[in-house]
Amino acid sequence: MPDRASIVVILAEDQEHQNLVWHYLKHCTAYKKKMGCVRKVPLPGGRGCGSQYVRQQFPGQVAACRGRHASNLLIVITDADHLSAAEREQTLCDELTQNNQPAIGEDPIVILVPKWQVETWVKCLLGQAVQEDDKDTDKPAVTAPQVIAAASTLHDWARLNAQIGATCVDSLRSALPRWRRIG
Amino acid sequence: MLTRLYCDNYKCLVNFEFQPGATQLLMGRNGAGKSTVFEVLELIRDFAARGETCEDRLVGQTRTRWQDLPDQRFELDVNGTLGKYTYELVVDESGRPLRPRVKKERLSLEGKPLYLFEDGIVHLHNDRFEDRTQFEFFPRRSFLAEIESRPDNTKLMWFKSWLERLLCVQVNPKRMRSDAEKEVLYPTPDLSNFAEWYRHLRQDSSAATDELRSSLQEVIDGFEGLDLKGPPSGTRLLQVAVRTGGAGKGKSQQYGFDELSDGQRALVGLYTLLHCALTDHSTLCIDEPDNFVALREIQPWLSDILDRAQGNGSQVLLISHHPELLNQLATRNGVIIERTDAGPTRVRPFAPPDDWTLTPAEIIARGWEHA
Repeated sequence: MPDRASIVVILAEDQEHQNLVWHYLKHCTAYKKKMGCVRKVPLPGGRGCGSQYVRQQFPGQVAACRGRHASNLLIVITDADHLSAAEREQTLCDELTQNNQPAIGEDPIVILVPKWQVETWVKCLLGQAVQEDDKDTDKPAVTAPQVIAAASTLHDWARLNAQIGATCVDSLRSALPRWRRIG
Repeated sequence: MLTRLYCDNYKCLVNFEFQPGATQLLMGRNGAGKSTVFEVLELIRDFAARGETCEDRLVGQTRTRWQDLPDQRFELDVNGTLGKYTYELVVDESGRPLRPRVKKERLSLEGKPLYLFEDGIVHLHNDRFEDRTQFEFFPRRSFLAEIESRPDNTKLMWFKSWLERLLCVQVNPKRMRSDAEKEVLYPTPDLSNFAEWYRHLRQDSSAATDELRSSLQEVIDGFEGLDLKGPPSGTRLLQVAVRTGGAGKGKSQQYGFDELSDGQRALVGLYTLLHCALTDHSTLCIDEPDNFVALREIQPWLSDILDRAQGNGSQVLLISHHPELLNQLATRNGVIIERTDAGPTRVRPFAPPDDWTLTPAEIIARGWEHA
């Protein structure tokens, strides 16, 4: 993982996912004054196909990052939905295999997987007690200022030996080391 | 925040209604009427808040050509801190030779009257909505523009302040001048008076211009700051300090603002709008903000302006054909402005089928937004 990538690419399944990563990067020393090096991969036009879109885009984005000599960082954020986080990550790796690409090794790729929706992460970061296992509850939209505030807390929680809030859900707790890798 | 614009018998806007959100991207083919929507907002502002007469820009050649109707009608609904304001303006022509005339102008808050001009008489209402003052007035201008703040007209003045601050801009860096003969409160639509506006901002909004400097330091290589050189009371020249050789090293050089590239001047204009024009509850309309700006510069500016708007309750309406803006905004905040057979302009949400994985820009490029 480069200390500071020359290009950071965010591949997200919808705008809230994208915004959480974007605002997290704004807290990272390496990127906060250089947000011009951060590229958001366009979101799909349809509203119900984000996860499928991420899987479609993933091999191409990985190949593009591997093909560059400059240091790059690819951040992928997509919900696990009915799978576990590991299973969702495997579906992405399967896309690489199907496209005759090597599996992820030491590549600068960070995969982040909320359970059903990233709103759960945002709310727990804001100190709200949330259940992340039930997809039909707790889906009220989060506002942009809430995402911004959540990203700030997330950057605090991702520090080494940080005091993690009591409301932190399991999927986020296990993803914190990956957030820390970003910066 | 503007929640509704209604317009009838103005160019291609016939019985036209548009209900914008807090962030809105107007998309559509050339000639669809996108810029006309901004033009209407601008002329209502200039008439009702900045004291222009209705003679130059209303009725006459601006009436819809394929109709033969005398009245032009404009309505705004604006959500303010005190409730929903409704502004109505009806203009026709009278006299020999025919001249534009205000037939009716009305402002209400939650349906209760604050201001009425009808049959040549102004009715001024106080904050308790009581009709306290009546007098005759010239039918070619709005008395709203003349009203000054008093303890009993705070409700009316909220609307007037919102309307005064409404900005419709298309940044044209080739016309952004360096000389500032005086201070001006508002920029011209093309930012040609940028230096004069900045001269005012530096005096009046130093915190905002400090934020502006920080942002520009991030996006323009070597940028250190803007400065106005010259006598305090005479014409001053806008200059830019640029450090060559890296931050903390090298040497700072002064350049004239007009020595920056078109793209750099456009960036200065866009970030100034972001930091200095997007104040609490204001509405900012920018036509094609992507013009002149490098591809890599658009996303950070767009993300910053959307964050700021959502953070302080202001509103941003954008017109663009640029893939970056389409991809970023169309799915959640896009509307299609369109005309059929060169007829009236209509507006509808951008709503491709949920299972389409094409990007919004690609959908628009293929013309499939009509699917």
